[in-house]
Amino acid sequence: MKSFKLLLTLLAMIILGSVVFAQASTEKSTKKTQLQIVHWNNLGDDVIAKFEQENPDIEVLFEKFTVDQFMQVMKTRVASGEIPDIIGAQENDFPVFLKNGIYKDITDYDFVKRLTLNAQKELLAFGDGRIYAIPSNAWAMGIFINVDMFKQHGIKIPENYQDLHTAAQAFRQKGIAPFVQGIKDSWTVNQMFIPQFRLQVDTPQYYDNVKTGTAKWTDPEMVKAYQEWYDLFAAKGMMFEGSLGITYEQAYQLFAQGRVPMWPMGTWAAELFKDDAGKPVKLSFEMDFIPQFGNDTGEEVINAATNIGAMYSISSSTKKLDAAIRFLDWLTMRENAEFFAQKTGLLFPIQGVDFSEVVPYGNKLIPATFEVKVLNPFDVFVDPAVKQQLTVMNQNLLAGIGTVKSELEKVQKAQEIANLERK
Amino acid sequence: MSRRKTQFIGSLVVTVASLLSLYPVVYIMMISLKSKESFLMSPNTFPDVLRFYNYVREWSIGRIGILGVNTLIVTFISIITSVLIGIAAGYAMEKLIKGKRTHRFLYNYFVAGIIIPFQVIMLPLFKILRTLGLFNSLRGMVIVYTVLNLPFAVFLFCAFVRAIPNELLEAARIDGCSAYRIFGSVIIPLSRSIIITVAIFVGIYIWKDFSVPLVYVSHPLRKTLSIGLLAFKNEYNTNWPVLAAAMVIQTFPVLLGYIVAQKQFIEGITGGSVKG
Amino acid sequence: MSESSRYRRVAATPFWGNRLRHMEQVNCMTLDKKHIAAYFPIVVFLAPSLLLTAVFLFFPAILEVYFSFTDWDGISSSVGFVGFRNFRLMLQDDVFALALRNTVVFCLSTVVLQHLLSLCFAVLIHRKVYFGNLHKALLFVPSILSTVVVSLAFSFILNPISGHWHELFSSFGFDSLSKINWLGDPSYGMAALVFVSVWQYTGYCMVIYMAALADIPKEMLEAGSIDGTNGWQQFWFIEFPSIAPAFTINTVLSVIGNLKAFELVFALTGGGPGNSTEVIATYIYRVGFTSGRMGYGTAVSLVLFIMISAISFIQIKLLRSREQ
Repeated sequence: MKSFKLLLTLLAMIILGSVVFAQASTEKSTKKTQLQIVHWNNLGDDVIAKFEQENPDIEVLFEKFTVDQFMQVMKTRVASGEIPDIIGAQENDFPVFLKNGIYKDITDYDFVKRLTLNAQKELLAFGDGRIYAIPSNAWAMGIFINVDMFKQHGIKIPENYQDLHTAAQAFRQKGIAPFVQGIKDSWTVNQMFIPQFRLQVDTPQYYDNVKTGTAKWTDPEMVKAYQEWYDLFAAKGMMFEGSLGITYEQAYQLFAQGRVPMWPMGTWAAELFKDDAGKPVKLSFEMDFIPQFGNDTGEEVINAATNIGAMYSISSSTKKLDAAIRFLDWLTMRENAEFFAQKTGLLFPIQGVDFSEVVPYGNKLIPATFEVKVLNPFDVFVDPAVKQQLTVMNQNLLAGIGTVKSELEKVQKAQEIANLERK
Repeated sequence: MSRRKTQFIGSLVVTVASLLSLYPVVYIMMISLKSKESFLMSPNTFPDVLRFYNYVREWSIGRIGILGVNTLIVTFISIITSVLIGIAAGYAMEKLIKGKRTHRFLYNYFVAGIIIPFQVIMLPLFKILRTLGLFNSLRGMVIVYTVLNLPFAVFLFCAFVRAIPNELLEAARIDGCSAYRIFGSVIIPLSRSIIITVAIFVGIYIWKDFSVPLVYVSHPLRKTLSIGLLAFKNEYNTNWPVLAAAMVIQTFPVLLGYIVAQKQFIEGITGGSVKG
Repeated sequence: MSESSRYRRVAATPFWGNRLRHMEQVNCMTLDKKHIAAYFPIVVFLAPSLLLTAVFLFFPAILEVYFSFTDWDGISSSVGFVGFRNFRLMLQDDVFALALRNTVVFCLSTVVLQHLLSLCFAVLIHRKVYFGNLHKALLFVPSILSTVVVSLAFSFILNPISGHWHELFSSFGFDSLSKINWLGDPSYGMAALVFVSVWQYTGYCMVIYMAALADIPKEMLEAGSIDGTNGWQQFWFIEFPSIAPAFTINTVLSVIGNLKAFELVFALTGGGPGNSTEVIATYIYRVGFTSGRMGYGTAVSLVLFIMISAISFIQIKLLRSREQ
């Protein structure tokens, strides 16, 4: 009995203690306005510190997740009404969240004008004429190439879609696999949609038509595009051996070691080319970054890129609107934007920002992101369930499972289910 | 086969297994001492310079101190509640309830509880927690963890309490003990070993878990160690050695506790845990 | 306070007292005076667990069942009722069938290997090997590690280009083995997953079996050695039957745990490449969160729950009858 009483008292003390502790930690921060920000890209502790220094009455609570977790957590929280003040917005989920009125309309605020014109244009198109978010990252698709390997084997560096095929086949004939990719990380297979992008350039409404049923994934044009994709990436000898089992960073490793001629990846990968001290890594070869050509020989170069890669939106139900506005206003000011870009390595599309210090080899990446003609890649507009099936299809083809036709049939099936389920 | 020979072969087999168990852990420790580019360039070699700085960096940026305290509190309290509530339920089910149908119903009820995966209840549970004001609090996490571990704990306690001879309880009852007295003075002392066992399993589960604090806590200072681990996992640019250092930091207390308390640990588990 | 005095106190209260007297009048049998008061402890002891699990575990689960009959996308506040459509779609879903098959294969392989090996190690160490306690500790260590740690370590070790195994195999000349893409090749993915899962939890199972073995009364073993049984016979006829209850509990929990396994598969292969290593739990995640079909996802989880329940109850029945 004594031990029982002892246990009870111990228990009571502990519970009391924990309650006190929990209360204490809330007490500490109720003096300032707490701004809750959630994103999958880094905001940078230095950036937060600088902001809090200049705005002492606001405290920033930043929560970072990986992309996978972000979807899970955001959806769970939004569904229960626990929405942070500033939300990271992703192109795929953007339409659904928009439809449910999660985002606040910020078109009329001045700070929006500081974005690059391309960014503003894309935002307006995305938000049906109104602006609902600020992009924190502009990126372009492209191919990192090992110039030395091209020179060594006398292969012309591609300038259009046909050149790309020629170059790839030339490498293969010499027994060198032209591409490497971190296929184990499934999102990377979606970075190589060059033939499909070309289809989008030729017939832009194609990817809308599948949603209404006027076009199908099994139509001849799509089959042809995917067959070209297969010949380019999935056929024997095109992918560096073992690519199926390596991650995104391991693929970078192989490229940085100079073992592959081409690595199709977006500009965000430039961040990897840094050493611990933050300085650009010294490569043993000359590197360049070419666009993923949607244009044929002789046509103007067009690349898949977007100025609204990862976005910050204000929640329409936030109680700290003033603080949120101040934060975004502060962030978009040129010096702060530059500071943010430098600390995070993101290409923040604010007018006047100098990106040469932001990412290693920045001067090579900027043209493909901000200077050529760009088109927002189609995979943003595809239904999430269909996009998932496309990823599976790409992985299957790369792994040697199934044929182009059979896999496209599965995609079509998924599209039909999505059309059925869409209200 | 001679005793000696069996013993030798047995030792060999077990040694191979132990080494296999150990080596990925050693590998992680090795990674944690490398620099980022040395790791990306050659992940399998020994670090030539031991970068203990990785640990320092992880500790400060990952706010390990506070998160560690949070994790300790939540784990500790959850263990106590799971054990107490669990053994109470086990006692009631095995020794107090006379009806066979009631017993079967309750037994199935708790087994069903073990089967339900967390993923499934994650969303609605969140709504409930929020309505009750338990979102973003350590109290909320304690409740969730208790509930998640209760079915398993009750299952084990039932098995153990069933094996306690009824004569003991009869003797106590004749002496004039009430059910509560029997619980406190007879059941709990006898169950010391199974209590330690359940405490260990529940503790390890909570310490490792990251799904619960991920979704149910948003304030950075109220999260747990497993989330702190992710501070260095940027989407496109993870600093693996520092991440490995974080993992070592997270695993270290449990490992240490295990080595130090190994005697208690093993005694607890060995002392007649699962009797059925 | 003794039970009879508590009974008197209860009988003195108007509400309960009246009911008791009413029952005594109506029933022919005299009520056992201790009967009512005997219920209090039961309620007190059971209430916390029943209440907590009902509110925080079963109630959300039932809500999820409701969602499985809708087309909810996981975010919208408006939800449309669609009857059994999700379940009909499931019947035609090839990926679901694949995930089901993978789950069963994974569970069976893991459980069989885990328990075989852990029993083997348990008996060996129990019968004394050199440094027995050290081995016990080392084998237990993997189960302490969180999934993040385990998946990180193995994704680097099993890397076909720069991983440990690749280098090990090639230095011994096993070229074809060294090239195997353990986590990326559809034919080897499941094997790799089973391997990691067995690696992590064999020690855990072993420790439980060792505990059960230690409980066997010495007399039983002595009787056996008097009869002249050898090592294997001793195990099969004496030790194994004696640890039957532990075996039941351990295997049942193991089966349940492996059927709903999520984190390990998700972190190591993500279900890929394609869908080749998809298990039901990862499929539920994929469908519910990634594809935005939460209604369908919850329908699949309902099916998973029913499946696991059925398998567990059959298993418990079989093993319990064996225990007698």
